[in-house]
Amino acid sequence: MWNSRKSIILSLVATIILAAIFSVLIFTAPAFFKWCYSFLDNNIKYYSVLVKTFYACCIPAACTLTAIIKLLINLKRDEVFIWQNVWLLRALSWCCFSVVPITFAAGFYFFSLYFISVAAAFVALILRVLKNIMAAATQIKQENELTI
Amino acid sequence: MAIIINLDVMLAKRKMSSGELAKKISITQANLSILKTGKARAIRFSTLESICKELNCQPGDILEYKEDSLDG
Repeated sequence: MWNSRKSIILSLVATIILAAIFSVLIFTAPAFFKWCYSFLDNNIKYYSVLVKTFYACCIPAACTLTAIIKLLINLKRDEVFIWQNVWLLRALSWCCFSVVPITFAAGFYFFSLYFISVAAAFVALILRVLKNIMAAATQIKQENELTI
Repeated sequence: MAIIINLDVMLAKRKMSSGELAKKISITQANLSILKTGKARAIRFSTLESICKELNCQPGDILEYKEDSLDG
């Protein structure tokens, strides 16, 4: 029977698989992008920009994946409304925000990266609102716990 | 906080232990301890009613308002 616990485990497994793919890409990014470029023939001069953009986004991406895994582990332990989760959501939001200027700058060379920039800004805003909701819920939970 | 709980004073006056009161009003000793030490954020009317009933006192005997000092 499908339940929320299994759903959390599925999310955790999916995130770990994504983290593994990301780890492989860190070492193989130049070759991977070169392979991608073999299908296009144009704009080969901007190949290095794409690789640099990828590596510039690596630190926020690694932080994001770590934060998601920590958040899911907390949820699995039934620790939902705790201040650590609020902090993790805040970190996730800032990680998304930090990608915006990188992809925006790279957008001068690859127009499609502007879309990633806008999407990252939207996700960061949504996460910020979620973080505010989580903070309010944690506060209410704490007050409830201290009501005798 | 400006509201002070004088539960330990009332317990001493009635010569009753915390454990005994916790048992009589059906709350855990941990929760009674939170109440006694002033860590509680709120108290339910039902809990206050039970305490007053068992200790044979008024809510004012348990709760006291003291203005917070601004210095320090």
